[in-house]
Amino acid sequence: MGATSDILSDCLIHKILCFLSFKEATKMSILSKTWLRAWSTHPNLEFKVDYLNDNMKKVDSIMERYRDGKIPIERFELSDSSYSQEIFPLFDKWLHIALQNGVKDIIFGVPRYTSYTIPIFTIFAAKSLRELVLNGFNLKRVPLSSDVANYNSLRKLSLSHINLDDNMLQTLLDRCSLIVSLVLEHCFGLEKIELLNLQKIKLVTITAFTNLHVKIEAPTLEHLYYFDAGEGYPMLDIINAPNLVSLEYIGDQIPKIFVDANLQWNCHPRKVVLVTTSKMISCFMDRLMNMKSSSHESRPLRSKLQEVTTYKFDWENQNWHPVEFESGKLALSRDKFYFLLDW
Amino acid sequence: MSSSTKFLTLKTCDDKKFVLDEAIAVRSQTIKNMVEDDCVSNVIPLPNVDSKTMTKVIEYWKKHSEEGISKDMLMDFDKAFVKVHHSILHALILAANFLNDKEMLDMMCQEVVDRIKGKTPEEIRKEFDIKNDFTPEEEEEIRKENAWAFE
Repeated sequence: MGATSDILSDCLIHKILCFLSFKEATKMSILSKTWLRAWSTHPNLEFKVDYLNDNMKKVDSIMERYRDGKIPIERFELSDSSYSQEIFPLFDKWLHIALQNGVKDIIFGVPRYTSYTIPIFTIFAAKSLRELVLNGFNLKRVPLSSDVANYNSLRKLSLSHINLDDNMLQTLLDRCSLIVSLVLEHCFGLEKIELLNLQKIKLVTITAFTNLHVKIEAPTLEHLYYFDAGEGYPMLDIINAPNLVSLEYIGDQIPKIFVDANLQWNCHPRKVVLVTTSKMISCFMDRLMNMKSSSHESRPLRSKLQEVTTYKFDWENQNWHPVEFESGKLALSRDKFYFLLDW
Repeated sequence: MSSSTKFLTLKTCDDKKFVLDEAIAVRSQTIKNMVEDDCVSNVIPLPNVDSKTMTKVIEYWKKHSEEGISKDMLMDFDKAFVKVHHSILHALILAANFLNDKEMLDMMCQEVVDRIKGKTPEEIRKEFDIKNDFTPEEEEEIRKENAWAFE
């Protein structure tokens, strides 16, 4: 029986290494020459640069090797905790190499309040890009591009702890109208979010420290997660979401559209998860009761609420318990509820 | 079985013949392409696969083609299936690669990775019979170069 390096080709070892993270795969480079060769073209790069480690040069030499060898890059993951401005030109250089080499997923995080200006429109212009996950950047520094081209390759956009204004968000969304998944997490500087022309959107996650005005018209939307830690009244406006399957809402106030008897629900989710105050839960239950009993409403049969099954989350045992659907009769503090709705 | 069931004869490199339901054999993209291109006359030669390995592959294909088999049962089967000596594991990877069965290849590669994780380079070399063809100087150089990964 020969040694592995004689049996398995570079190509198969390369495939095996792809099941490992870049760091784990790097450890394998020491096994033998075949493994070193297979590792040297690992398509998923992942680097953490920090000040103590001072590993910028190492990362730079690896990136240059990928550039010079035109080695395909699928995933480029970079997190910076160096707090050093010296590295900014390198960020630009590495991003450029990743984009040149056909990167599909970029995951890039920097410390908040960084003064690095990410070339967001250059990244958006990359034809190969599928997924873009950014954390910590200040996009208010980025000049709006006048270029109006619509870049359709992006499928997932995730912005966390990003400083940007309404105009920038709208400009970005206009350029990726075919995204399937959108995450906006604790972004600063936003007042309104309008999701109106996303033709393939299925998944939306919004978490906010302050009340935002959110408007959603998305016929393809299936899952909506909304976390609102604002003090005022949340302004969530679902204009049309006929395919919404699940809605998860966390916040002390429930948006009017779900509790006001004068407003029609423009969606018919099968599952609703709520984490809110006891007062809000009973308002919500009243509204459900009201929808269930209002047989006189002249709506298509499909959109009439038929049955409600309610579960309460047991924090201690981490599971759901069915509870009787009777408004006003549950002794509640802030709690987590799960409603299964039959329409 | 319905009258439309077609059988294929596969011949391994050690001249053993396997008669197999076409519906099962086309789990191999390589065989499927041959069937679709109509270049299957009587016997399909598999010059890169020996009979011992092919027996295992067919065992896997048949189990995964069983009607009404539960996900749990398949998971148990897969778990037991990959618990083989590394030489068989490698033979199966080569076979899955040649036959172009992505599902099986991914499963076998995952098994290799599971065996690698948490082990020192020396342990991995021993487990997989990998010959260290670096000079001590070369090895030291790579270790230094990639020290960040060993932290």
